[in-house]
Amino acid sequence: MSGPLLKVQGLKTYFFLERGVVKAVDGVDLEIEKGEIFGLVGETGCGKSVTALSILRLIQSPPGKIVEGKVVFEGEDLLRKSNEEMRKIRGTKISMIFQDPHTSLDPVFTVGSQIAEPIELHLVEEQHLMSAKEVPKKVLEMLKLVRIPDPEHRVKEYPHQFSGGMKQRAMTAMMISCNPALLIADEPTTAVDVTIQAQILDLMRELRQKLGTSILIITHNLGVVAEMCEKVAVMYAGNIVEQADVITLFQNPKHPYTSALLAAVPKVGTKGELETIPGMVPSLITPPPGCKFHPRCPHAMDICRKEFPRMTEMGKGHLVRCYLYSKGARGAA
Amino acid sequence: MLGRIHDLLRGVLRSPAFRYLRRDIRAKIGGTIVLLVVFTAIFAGFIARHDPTAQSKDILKGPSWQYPFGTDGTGRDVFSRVVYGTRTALIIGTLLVVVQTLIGVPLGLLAGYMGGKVDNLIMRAVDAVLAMPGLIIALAFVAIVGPGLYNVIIALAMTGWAGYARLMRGQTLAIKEEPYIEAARAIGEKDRTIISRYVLPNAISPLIVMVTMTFPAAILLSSSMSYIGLGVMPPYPDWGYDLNAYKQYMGDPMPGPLLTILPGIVMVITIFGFQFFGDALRDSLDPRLRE
Repeated sequence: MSGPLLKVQGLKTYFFLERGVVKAVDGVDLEIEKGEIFGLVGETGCGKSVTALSILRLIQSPPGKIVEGKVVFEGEDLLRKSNEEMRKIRGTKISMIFQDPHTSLDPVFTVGSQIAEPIELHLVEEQHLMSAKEVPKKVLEMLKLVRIPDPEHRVKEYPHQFSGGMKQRAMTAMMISCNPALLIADEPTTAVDVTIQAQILDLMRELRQKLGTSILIITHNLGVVAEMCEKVAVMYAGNIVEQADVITLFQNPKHPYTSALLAAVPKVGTKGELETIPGMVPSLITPPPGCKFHPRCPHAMDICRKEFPRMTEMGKGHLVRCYLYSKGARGAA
Repeated sequence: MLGRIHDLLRGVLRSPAFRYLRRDIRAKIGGTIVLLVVFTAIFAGFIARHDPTAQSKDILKGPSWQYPFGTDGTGRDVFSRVVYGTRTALIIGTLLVVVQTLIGVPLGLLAGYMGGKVDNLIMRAVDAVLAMPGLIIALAFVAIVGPGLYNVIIALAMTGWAGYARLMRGQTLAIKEEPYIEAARAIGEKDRTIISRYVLPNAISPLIVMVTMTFPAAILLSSSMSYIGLGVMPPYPDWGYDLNAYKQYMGDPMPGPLLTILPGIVMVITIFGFQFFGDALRDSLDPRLRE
């Protein structure tokens, strides 16, 4: 197939609350190639997770609604699919790993029966690729793939008998058991400690290599991005403000927000105050006019307060949403 | 599916709740009484010495080896009637709880899971039912369709399901927000699978408690109806009906009062046993009360 595996165009997901409309995702464009690891970075509340849930159409509705845009996956717009078609895509073609492994597994069933669930549902019942008898073997295979020690024994245990890292791997096993083309990992390392983080990231890289899965990693951890991703998009208040390959972004950040984020990463061996970004994340109900970052931006100009900047191409695949680099705007300013 | 049921059972037996229950004195006493009552009901034919409906010439006799609780005004063995009465009580309790569960639980799950209009519709019906006095409605119903075992069950179930629906809705609302439900959606589970295989098993503890608490209440309610003659019909042995029938001997010299006192004690102990067990079960399932 030609073209990217996933192409998100002008996605807008709003939440209609009593106190106003929260524009959680306000026009996001993304492209993820086959086999690529793509990072989506941003502060808490910038719309990263909502973007991910919108791709899977798992937005709670009401109050949430995808009001505009396209999510083209393998050439088809997921937003035009029926609920039943979409349900069959979840878990088979696109799956998602959640942030908190401790609560993302059902406490009353064994880990084995939970990993068996998507296999039975999709591979046995819907696609008839496998007989019910083969399911336990496949479950063991998956546990081995995510490197859970002593899988024959562990398969019969309950989530509370697993450590955090093992739960995260068990969930990963459940989510990749039907060999999805795209795996969305929503803050996969936030709830586990550093050693487990490294294991989980290793595991995801390995899966990409073995199964050719594209991975969309959602994180606020720039270290994870630097280590894992080929391409990165930086999100701020519902928009992507900069997008580039990982090396370009880290070496040559263009958007003031990206620069500030990178400057705020604590560095080993340096003393003194930690760099912070002044101000607060804006309200998504009444975002500031113009560029949403302008109240916190050290380079803010007049036009930034009035008009919303467009994406400007800086180099191959390097896009920035900022008037500092937009020629047309400079002329106007 | 079988594997999941097996999982669930194994989980129950190994759970801290079950371990607590085995140590709890109330569970021991209550459990013993419950087992005894169930045993009596099953083996009533062996335990009773006479046919509970057979009349004899031994009228109003005091307790003896032949008639442990004495005989009533028509010469029936009161002990045998009490023994067979456990059957009536357990049948009514069980059927009533089953019917209430079958109506209330699905409605509650549906209301909690679907939300919106469905929720509103079901819960307003629940509110309406809960606003009505259950026993009066049941009496009115039986007054229209006539007394009898099954009519009593239908009459009491008409209002009893609402509590179950309300309980399950609350549970569902809470469980619905758990990340494992979102994970279930992310692997493409159908809504009905999520309700039956994710929400329901996680709401089973409060449901079990509700069942053990409503069971003795059901026995009491049905006995009350029989007592005023709108329940199980004679000569079928029923505690409530017998209490009413024997109350005329309360003022008589001994053994007259024993006719009501002895069956009354058995009934009280039974109810007490179920409630004791239910209390222990509730505490065992609440981790905060466990230690």
